[in-house]
Amino acid sequence: MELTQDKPIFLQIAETIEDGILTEIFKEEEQIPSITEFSTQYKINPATANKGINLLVDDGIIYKKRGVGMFVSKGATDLLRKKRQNDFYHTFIERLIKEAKKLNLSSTDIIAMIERGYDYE
Amino acid sequence: MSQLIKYQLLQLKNSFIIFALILFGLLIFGGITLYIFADSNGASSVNGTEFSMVIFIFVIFVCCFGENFRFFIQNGKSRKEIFTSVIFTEIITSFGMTIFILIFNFISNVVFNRSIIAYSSLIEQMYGENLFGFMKYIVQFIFIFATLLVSGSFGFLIATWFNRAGKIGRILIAAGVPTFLFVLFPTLLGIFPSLRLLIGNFLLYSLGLKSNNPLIASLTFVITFIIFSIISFFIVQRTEAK
Amino acid sequence: MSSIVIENISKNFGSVKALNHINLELTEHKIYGLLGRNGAGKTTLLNLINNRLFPSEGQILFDGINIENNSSIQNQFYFIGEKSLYPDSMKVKALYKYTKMFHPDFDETYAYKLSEMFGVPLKKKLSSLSTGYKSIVKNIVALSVNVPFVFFDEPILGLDANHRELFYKVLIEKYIDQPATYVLSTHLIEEVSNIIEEVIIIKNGEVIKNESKEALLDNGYSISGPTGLVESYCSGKELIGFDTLGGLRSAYIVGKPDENIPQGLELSGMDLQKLFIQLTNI
Repeated sequence: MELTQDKPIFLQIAETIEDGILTEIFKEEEQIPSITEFSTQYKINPATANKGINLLVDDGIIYKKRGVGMFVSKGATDLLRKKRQNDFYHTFIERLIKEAKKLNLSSTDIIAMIERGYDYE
Repeated sequence: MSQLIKYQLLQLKNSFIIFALILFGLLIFGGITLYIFADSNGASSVNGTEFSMVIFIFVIFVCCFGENFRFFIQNGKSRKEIFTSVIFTEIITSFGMTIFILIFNFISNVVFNRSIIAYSSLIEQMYGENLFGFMKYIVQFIFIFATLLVSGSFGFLIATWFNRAGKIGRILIAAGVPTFLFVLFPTLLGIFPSLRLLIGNFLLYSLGLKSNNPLIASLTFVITFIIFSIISFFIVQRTEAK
Repeated sequence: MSSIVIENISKNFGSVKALNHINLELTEHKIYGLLGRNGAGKTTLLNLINNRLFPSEGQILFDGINIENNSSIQNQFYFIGEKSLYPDSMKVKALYKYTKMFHPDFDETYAYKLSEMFGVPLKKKLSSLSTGYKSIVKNIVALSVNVPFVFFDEPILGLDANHRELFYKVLIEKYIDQPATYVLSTHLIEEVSNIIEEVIIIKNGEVIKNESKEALLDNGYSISGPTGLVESYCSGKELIGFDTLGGLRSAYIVGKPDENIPQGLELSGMDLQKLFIQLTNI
């Protein structure tokens, strides 16, 4: 995963971990990489990595075990799905509609495209 | 502090070993020559070891200071500490070299067996042989020690001055000091006989030549060492490490 | 909490005012980015903190004590820069040995480990190393010396891409392993921007920004679109600078974006390098 410069790094870290949980790369009750690993891998300040992880801790997605490491909470996958579903409109739909309007695509056009996409997958 | 002194002594060590080896080499060479040409009737003399040591100690302190100063600053030392460590190094080095000279002179005397080739030490050259017994060694020691000390401190003084100066200043010092000492000053002495008389008398008295007393010279040297060191201190205190 | 306080520091070189009334504080356990263009005064400031140069005005204090010629304080700082105060003819191995003599906490094992990772020729004299390896050796010493305040002036000068990446990794690992304060002084912003927490920008001898990176970047954004639209959006706002390409303009603005962005305009965050360039352009 490449870091971009237009969104705060700590958010990107949190999102990367969330994606990992949703795609089951990080399974529930299993350990995730340490702050040191995240920091050195992405070449970022550990405080930034910690901030991103703390977001997930606050949301109950990750828990820290002192002296051992950080783990994915039980039920994190469902929690995340709900959260992402709630965010879906703001994160994707708004941008989609903005771009569609630029291209003069109507909502019917969009719906047809969406259905085509689901059939294809 | 001791680290600084230890470091400086380590840096000197190699140069000193080479120098000592050369001296001993010459001594052995002289001894062999003597052995081969044993029937010489000539009255030749061998000398100059002390003088070469005086030059040597001057050179050591002129050369090494700049580099050492920067390295010490890199390692967080204060200028006062650096200055003090150089003074201690000077004292220790002078002491060690004095012992070396005394031993070397003793061996030289044995090798050259005074009857054929006279080996004279600096002190004998300047003050004649009017000291006997144990006192002789003590006086010799003090005299040589003081000579080395003042020479080393002169080297240190030039080094601090040089270190502080900018590019232009350094050229001026490198060219100017020798020019002054060996060209300008003698010329002035030649032009102004009263100046010559004054300097002459000053040297006669301060070096104890009038009264034939090397201890006076030693005292003069020690006082000069103190003066040079004080000046060096002030220069070092205001030197920026660039 | 130990901190270095830089009080009203000015430094003149003849008639040139290299630093002009600088006030800063450097606190414990942080990574600072000391950013500025070539000649802005960064190295001069670092030289002043590290007892190489004397200030023309002002003073630098550590826990209330003046740092000038104070070796118990200076022992807690270590500074490596382009100009090396190491003896030219010293070999790398000897450098580690002597540094240990002066800094008992110097970790020789770690230094040798890093030397191996970077492929440092240990038996070579410092003067015969390439520019890149000179930097690497200095960086290794700085990372191994284990003092609370370490100053790196252009640490990646001459390093190839692989070594740069390795350097950042090693730096972060060390920082996590033994927290200290690192001050990275550079004009290569992009690579360090994710590593630094605090940003100090120096322009023409003066501090123009001194805040946390987060606050700095949070408090700015960029708007792009047709020049006319952008201009009208910008009116009444604090503009840092802008770029124009044909009929398109990107403007960099201080503050928070409006609730509603007009159609045709794109909003994006600001990155440190862009901000730096805009702030330090003449």
